[in-house]
Amino acid sequence: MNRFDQSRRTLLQYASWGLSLAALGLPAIAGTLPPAAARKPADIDGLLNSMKAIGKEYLACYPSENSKRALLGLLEARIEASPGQGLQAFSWDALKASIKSDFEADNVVFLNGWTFARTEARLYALAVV
Amino acid sequence: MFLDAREIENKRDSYNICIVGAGAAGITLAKALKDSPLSLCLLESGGLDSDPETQSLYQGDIIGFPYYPLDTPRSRYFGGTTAVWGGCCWPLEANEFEKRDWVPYSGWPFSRQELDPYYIKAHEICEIGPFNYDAQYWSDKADRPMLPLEAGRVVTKIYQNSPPTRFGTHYREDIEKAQNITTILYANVTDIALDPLNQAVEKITVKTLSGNAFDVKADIFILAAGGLENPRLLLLNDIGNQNDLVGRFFMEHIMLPASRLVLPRKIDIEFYIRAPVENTEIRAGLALRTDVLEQERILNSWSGFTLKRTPSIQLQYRWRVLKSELSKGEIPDNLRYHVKMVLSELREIYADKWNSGDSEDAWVTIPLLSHAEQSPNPMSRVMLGNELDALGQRRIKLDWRITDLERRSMRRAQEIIAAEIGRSNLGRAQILAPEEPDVWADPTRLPEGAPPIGSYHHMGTTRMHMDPKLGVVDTNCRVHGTKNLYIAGSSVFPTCGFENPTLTIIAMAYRMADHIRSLG
Repeated sequence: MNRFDQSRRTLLQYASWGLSLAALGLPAIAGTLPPAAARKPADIDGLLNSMKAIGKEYLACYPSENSKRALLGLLEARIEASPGQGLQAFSWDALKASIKSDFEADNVVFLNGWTFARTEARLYALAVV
Repeated sequence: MFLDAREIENKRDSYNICIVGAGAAGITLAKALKDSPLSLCLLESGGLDSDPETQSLYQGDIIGFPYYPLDTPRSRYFGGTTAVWGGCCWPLEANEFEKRDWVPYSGWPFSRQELDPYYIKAHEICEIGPFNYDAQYWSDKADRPMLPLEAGRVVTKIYQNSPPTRFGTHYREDIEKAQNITTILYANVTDIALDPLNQAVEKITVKTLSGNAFDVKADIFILAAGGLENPRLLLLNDIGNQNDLVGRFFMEHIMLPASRLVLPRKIDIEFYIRAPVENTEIRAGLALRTDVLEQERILNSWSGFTLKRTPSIQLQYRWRVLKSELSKGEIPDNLRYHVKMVLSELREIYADKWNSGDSEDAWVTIPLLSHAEQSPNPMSRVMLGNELDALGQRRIKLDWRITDLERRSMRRAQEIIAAEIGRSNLGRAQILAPEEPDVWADPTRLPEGAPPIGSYHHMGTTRMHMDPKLGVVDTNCRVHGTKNLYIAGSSVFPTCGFENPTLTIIAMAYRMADHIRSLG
C-alpha cells in the first residue's frame, strides 16, 4: 500500500467538503472552514501529510509552479481573486466553484492515478512550498 | 427424442433442419421450431454432463494477446455454456448497431429496432423481467437510489440477471418430448459436404470419440457451435472463406479493474451492487452518454461496482486453471503466481470491508470493473493450427489483438467518470486503466505473467455483412455463396458492444427461426 492509499480516506473526506485541503493548515482562511472540519481536529496531521504528499507529487510533475508566488498567481488568475492578497483572497465558495469548474472543463491532473481538480492540486502544492 | 451417437449404426435419416450445437443458440432455435411441421436434428458434441475428453476438443494455441486456455471458456455438452454462465442479460444499444466513423468496420446491417421483438422473447427464455432497461424505472421499483451525479457526461445503466437459466437442464424435457426434434448426443461434426456446384451443403459427417461415424442429411444446416468452433468448422471444410474472412475480426469484451472510487459510506450504493426487484435482479453501473462517446470518438463501456461480494472473473479463471491442472494430476505452471494472486484477491475482499466506521464521515473504497467494447479488427483472428485433436481435426490458433483504440477508450471513460464524481462532489477516483499508449497493442510490453483480460465471450469470427467481401454471412445469417448453410451465435456479430452477448445470441436465434419458417 503506497502513501496515497494510506491516506486517501482522510484526504478524500476533506476534499469532499468541497475545498482543497491546503487551506486547512493555513490560518489565513481558517475561518472559512466548514463546521465538519472543525469537529475533527484529530485528523489535521493526517490531512496535512496527505496534502503535502500530493502537493509534492504535483510539483514533481509541474516544476515550473514550484514557488508560492507562482502557485498563488495561478490560483488568483483561476478564481479571479484579488491579486496580492494571498490566501485571504480566496473565499470558500470561490474555491468550491473553481474546483467544480475544473472538473467540468477536464482541467484535472492525475497524480499516481488519483484525479484532482487543478485548483485543489495547486492548493495541496501550496502546503509544501 | 435423445439418441447417443456412439450407439447409432448406419444412420441415414434426413431432416428439414440440422442444428450443430446445443447451447443457448441451438436450444433456442430448437424451442422456437418445436412443434412446427419441420423435422429437426440437434447435434451435440457432448453428453448431458461435462466430460474431460469431449471438453479437450476445444484445446488450441494462443499466439496473440494472453488468453485463457481454450478448453476453459466454453462448456461442451447439452446446454453449452449456459451451464456455467453468470446470467448477465442486456441488449446491445442502438448506437452499437450504427456505423461509427471512428470505429473501423463498425455497424450492423440493420437497426436495433429489428431485434426488439426478439429481445422480448429472449427475456422470456432467460426468465428475466420486462424488456425495460431504463435505470430510473428500476431504481424506483427497487427503491434504491441512483448515485446523485449532476446531469453531465456519466449516466447509470443497468442489466438484468437471469437466475441464471441453465438451458441444458431447464429446457431438456421440452426438447426431449418434442415430436419433431431428434437430439443426438456425443455427435461431433467433422466434414461438411457441398454439392457438386459448391452451393449447398448435402450432408455432414458425424464422428464420435469412440470411433463411430455416420452422415446426416438436411435441407438446411445451422452451425451453432460457438465463436471459435463455428469458424473452425468452416475453415476445416474450406467453406465461406472465398474472401479470407472466416476467423477474422475476433472480438472479446475487455474486462479489468479500471478505477477505484472513494465515496462516503452514507451514500446508498446497493443499486450498483445487486438490487432484487420482484423476480428480477438488477445491477447498475456507470457509463458515458452516447453523445459523449461520439464527441470523444471512443468505444462503449460500462463500469460496475465490485465490492468483492462475488469472486472476480480473474479469480474464477485462476480457479479453473488450478482445478483443470490438478484434476489431471499435474502441478500447474506458475502455481506460486496463481496462489499469490488468489490470496491477494481474498485479501482485497476483506480490505474492501475497511471503512472508518459507521459514522457520517466514513468512507468506502469501491473498485470499478470495466466491461469494454472491442473494435472489429481483421488482424484479430482464429486460424487453424497444425496440431490435431482426438478426431484428427486441426485445432485452432487464436491470435487475439487489441488496438490502442480500446486502451484509449477505457482510459478516457475512467477519466470522465472520475471527473464527474469530483464535479458532483461525491468523492474522488483513482484510475488504474493504462495511460501509456500502445501498451495493449504490443503484447511484448505487458508485464510478465499478466493475466488475460477477456470475458469468455467470442464474437465476430463469421461476421454478418450484406457484402460478401466484408462479411461471411448475409443479413439472414446464411453463409455467403451457399444456399442452405446458416450460422447462429455471437460469431455473426459485426460489432460487439460492451454488453454480454447471450441475450443478443438468443434474440438472433429467434430471428433466424422466423426466417426459416418464412422459407416454407
